[in-house]
Amino acid sequence: MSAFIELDHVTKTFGGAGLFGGGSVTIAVDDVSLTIDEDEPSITTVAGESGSGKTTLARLLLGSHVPTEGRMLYRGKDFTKLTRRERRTFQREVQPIFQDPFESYNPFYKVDHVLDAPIKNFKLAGSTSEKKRMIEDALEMVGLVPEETLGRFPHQLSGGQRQRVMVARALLLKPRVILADEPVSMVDASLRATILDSIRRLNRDLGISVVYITHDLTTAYQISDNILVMYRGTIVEAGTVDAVILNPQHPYTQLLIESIPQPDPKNRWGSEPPQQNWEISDTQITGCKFADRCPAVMDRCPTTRPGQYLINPHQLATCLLYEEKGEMTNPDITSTFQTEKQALQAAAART
Amino acid sequence: MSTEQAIKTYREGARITDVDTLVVKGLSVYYETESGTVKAVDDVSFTLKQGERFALVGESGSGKTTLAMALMRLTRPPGHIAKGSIILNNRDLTTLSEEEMRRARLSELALVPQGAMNSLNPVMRIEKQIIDGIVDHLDDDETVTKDQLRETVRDLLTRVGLRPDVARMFPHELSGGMKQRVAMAIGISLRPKLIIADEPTSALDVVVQRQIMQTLGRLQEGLDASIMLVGHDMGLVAQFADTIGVMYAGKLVEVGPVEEVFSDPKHPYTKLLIQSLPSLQEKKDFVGIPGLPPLLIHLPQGCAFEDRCPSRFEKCPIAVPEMRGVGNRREVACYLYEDEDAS
Repeated sequence: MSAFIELDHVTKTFGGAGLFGGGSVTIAVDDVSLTIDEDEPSITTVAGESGSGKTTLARLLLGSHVPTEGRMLYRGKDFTKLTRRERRTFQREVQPIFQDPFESYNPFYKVDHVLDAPIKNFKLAGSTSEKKRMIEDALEMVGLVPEETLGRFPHQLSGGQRQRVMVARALLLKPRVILADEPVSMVDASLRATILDSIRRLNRDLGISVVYITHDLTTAYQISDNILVMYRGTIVEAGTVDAVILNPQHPYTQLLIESIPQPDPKNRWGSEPPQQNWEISDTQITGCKFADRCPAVMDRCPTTRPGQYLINPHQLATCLLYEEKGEMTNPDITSTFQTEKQALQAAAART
Repeated sequence: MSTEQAIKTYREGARITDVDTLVVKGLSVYYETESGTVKAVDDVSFTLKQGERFALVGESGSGKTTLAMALMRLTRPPGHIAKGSIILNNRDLTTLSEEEMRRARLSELALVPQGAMNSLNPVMRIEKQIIDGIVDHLDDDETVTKDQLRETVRDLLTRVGLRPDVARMFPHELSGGMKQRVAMAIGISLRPKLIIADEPTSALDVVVQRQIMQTLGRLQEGLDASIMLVGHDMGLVAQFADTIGVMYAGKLVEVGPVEEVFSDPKHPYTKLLIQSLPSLQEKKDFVGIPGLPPLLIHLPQGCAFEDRCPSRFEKCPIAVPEMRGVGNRREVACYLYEDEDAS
């Protein structure tokens, strides 16, 4: 097992400095340790509401945010100490896919432009014919027909096609990791399937690790191997997707899952849950951040910060309800993760 | 037959009466463009009972928002209501003057818009934005004091689940969910009988979305109003609505009670739509609906879904199928059900 990207006790805060140093501090990511592995490519979901810190976590992994505390390591080396050449390799190996398939295009250029540019930038092709072949291969890989896609302007493609061109663009660079930030939230439900399917094939067929950032736990359950759930910067629950989604332990994860609008009219929501109180600033909270909304809150919760407790080998929760399980010795939350391959091997070993 | 029997709903606390709040008949909204007529909404008919929650679903471009805007008479040129009637509480909105329609908006039917964050004035305090609508609908001889208005605003904010001091804030001080709540407060300020909610939660997280929808439902029940929810999230529809209407390429292709449409969809498009929904019950391969909807400017002669339909037969490309009754308050526009008894 070799770590490709590693976050080592990373905290990222915003604000606070201000002209007089009096601004309130937002702790967007609070002491997170995790590893993205290269040898065992997997799909990992980062789930949470807006303001949970999931996009900040993604930006830390992309190297576009520098940790306030802790370190980000790329192939074992501190990210801030990389040479120019290493940083360039990193930029090729880690590719983002963004939420809005409309804004990532310049409407005056044909879609070919977004595919040509990375090839030129990273000098990936030796000749025009090689470039053409690479582009066509990448488009076919995401299920698009090159003749129907190339030579068109962005507005002539559907939202789903546009987003798949973005996946193809990422593919051209032969990345090791793809960070997809809400890639389907702006696409019609009927087209979501095709995009998620192409992302899943990148993982299975090309061995690319995918970090899928979303608030949609249904699609997360469908495509990912592992999941981590964030609330106000803290990872409140993590583990394999089957463990966390089918048997959530943290009261916040339970609320998230209960709130999914299930397409079943006979199975409706319960009573309305309380709203998040944004009045209390992050630095004022000394205990559990979810205590003010938690249906299972105990006397100690508002004042005692919970640790990461291991509920079973593939699931952890940051909640005092599970304190007797003992704090995890390895702070890396990805130690609870399992790839599909490992799960199958484990299942085979049991029988 | 009493409506309690006619509209079966699993919704707790539902009070649906036999009064027709909204009757839409043969409504068509066309856009005249240089390259021809775009039939954005074509010959759509449906009825909403008092207290009923009706959801209108369809993919982008299916005409659902155009229809919602037409009900508010907010269609902009080159679009226009080409045919049909919109009867709200026994009054045909299509025949009203601009001034009569302006007074009907907010007091009889109100819109909770898509992306409420963009519908608020960024440089005006919340209080003023709510008061504006109320004052605008006062009769000439009516007077209200500032204190009364402030009290009304406080009451409205509390009812949508906000603290009363939000009144003194500006939109940028509020979160997305809070802004959506303000939009709801404006929407219900004059106790309308019909609330049109156009994707009211499309940009919000699941928990906030659930809170907003549940608040909206509570408000609607309190006013004994009807709701038309416009959206594409089938999960939300299943959680919220009593009845559902499915639009495809400008036409309503299926209508029925939400439980029955989900458990036994009739139209092949509805079937595929429901099959393509990911669930937490099982992991399955993603199935989309192959192909794309037709361009509204070049609609085929027959059924618009024909080229994507797995059950098509000889009859489909020849003429557009009409809506026909297929059982208890259910209608479908598909030749597969032509021989079924319209009971």
